[in-house]
Amino acid sequence: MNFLIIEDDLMTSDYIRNGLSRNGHGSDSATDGIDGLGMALRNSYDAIVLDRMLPGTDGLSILKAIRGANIATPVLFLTAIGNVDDRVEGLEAGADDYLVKPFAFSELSARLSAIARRPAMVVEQVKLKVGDLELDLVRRTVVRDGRTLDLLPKEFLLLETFMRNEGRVLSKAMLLERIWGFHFDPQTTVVETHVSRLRAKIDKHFGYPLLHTVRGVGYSLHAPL
Amino acid sequence: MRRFNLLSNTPLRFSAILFLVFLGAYVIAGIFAYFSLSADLDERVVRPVTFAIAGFENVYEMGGREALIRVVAARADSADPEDEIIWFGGLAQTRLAGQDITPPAELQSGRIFGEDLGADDEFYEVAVRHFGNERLIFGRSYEQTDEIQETLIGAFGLATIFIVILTAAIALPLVRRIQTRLGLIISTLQAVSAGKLQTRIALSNSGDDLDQMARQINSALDQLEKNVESIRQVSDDIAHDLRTPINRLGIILESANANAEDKEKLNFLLERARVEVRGITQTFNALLRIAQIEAGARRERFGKVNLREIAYLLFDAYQPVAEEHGCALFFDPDSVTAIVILGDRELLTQLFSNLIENAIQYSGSGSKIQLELGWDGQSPYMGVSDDGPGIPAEEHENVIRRFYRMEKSRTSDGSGLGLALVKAICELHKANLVFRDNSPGLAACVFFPPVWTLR
Repeated sequence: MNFLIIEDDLMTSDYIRNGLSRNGHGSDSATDGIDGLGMALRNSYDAIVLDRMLPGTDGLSILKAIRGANIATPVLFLTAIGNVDDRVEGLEAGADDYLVKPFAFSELSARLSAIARRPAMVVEQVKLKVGDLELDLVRRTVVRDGRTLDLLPKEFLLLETFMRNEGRVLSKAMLLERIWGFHFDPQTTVVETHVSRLRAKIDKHFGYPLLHTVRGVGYSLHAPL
Repeated sequence: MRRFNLLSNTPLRFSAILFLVFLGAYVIAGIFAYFSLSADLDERVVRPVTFAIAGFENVYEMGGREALIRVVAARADSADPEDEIIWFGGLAQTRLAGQDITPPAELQSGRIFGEDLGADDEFYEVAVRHFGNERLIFGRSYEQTDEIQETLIGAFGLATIFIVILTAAIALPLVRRIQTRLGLIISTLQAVSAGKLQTRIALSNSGDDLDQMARQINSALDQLEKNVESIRQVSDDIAHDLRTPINRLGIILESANANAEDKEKLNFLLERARVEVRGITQTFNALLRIAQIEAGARRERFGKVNLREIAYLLFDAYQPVAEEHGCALFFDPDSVTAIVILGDRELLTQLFSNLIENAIQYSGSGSKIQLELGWDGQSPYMGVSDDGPGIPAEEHENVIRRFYRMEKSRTSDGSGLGLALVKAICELHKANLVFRDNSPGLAACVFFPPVWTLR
């Protein structure tokens, strides 16, 4: 995949580009908003990483200009402030996700791959399938290896989220936001507890695990590679 | 030091302008009055002279020259020469009757100085009437009217001086008073600029506009001081809460440098450094969030929030976590109908999440934690109670304060800012956080103001 990084701090920019290239992705970078806007308009990217604070024109205006030009490329907004207004403004201006500095590359990478372009799903799926695990969105049932599993509503939502993002790493922060709407970092093990309960139901007593812990980042659901 | 510059002194300048305008009007009116009075006084001298001459003409016509001489002589005997001149004689200074004066031959009627006629040294209104080769001279002194005029001018001058002194006596203390009060405001603001934020303007309690202005300035200064104090508190807290982990980070990095050859140890130290950085970031975010909440800016984003929904969401999220910790979290969603208040959903979620996490972490294994909400009269409340060891009643107030000042009394792996954040969110919602003895255990309850409750 090919990404555009619009970020004025060269160290941060290089950090992101190096990380992406290690994962086999290409990237262009721009250190100011105007250059970045030009590149976003000329080229086609899978996703754009956009810093909120840029010299000259700020990130928010660039984002509006990109959306104003009818470019639907997913945008990950980087903010240094991390307050709610900042986040809401970014999302309202058309950002697909946001990340507060300082961040770990793994978190950025997880979020980028979650928003990056994917093949358009023509038909809204009724059934999700990963390995021998099947989730029926209409009948709200989960079956693995022919056995029906009894999930609580939150566990079902958690599993649905993992299955829709098969193979992608979902960070704890992403799960907290998507499943519970928590935009803060709890002091207790909310995500871990729920994931381990889900894991006990879908992985225990089966031949191979589907739900994997990615150390220091989060979790990923996928069939054995 | 305050410079006393007359032109820059507004009250003094205003009073001076007002005074000069008044004085000018007074003087013009005075001059006008003086001249019209003078004309009237002159008339009082001129008219008797005209009458007297007419009388003498009458005598001359009736009795002839001899009668006139007799009358003139009689009049001269009875008249006071300072007051009246009467003389009859030839064109040369040959006197036939009257006073002993020496009128020059070319003498004309009009205002004449007495000594020119050999009379007293004052002005006379003189009429000269020729009868053949002889002439009658009659005059009346201006002395009295001149005296009246002099008295008038004197009185006018005195009155002017009196007015000037009176005005100065009234205006200067007033000006000085205003100047003093303005000076007080200026010096207070100077002290504030110089960093003495607690300085306030002393009020005169007169309730006048200056007092109202001083009151407004004082209340603006109160707010400013509060904000600065809050910023100072935050920076103190940042220093306090970040210095230790930053120090630890420094030590870890130094030690990593020293162990650069030992790859396993290096990896271990780098992982520890990463954990420290994450901790520092968390603390920093929490502090900034508290500061932002305390500034009250988020109130603009208030919307309708259903407390029951939040309670259920948190119950659903934390019930398994409580179990992991060996406690039980209870909430009966059917115990109450929807309670809708105006608030910030995200912050309220964080508030109660904090209270629940505190209860899970500190009430101990085997404890029961109850999440409840309901009505206290007009005021909705939501609270978390446990049956753990609790906190002694006399410590309840201190707990909030102490946590608010972020002195960690309990060892925790968190940033230790939990209750500080809780308190800040409560204040933003004008809600009241109360700790109560649950005997046994602790009950933390948040009471919301009835005004922000929607029914």
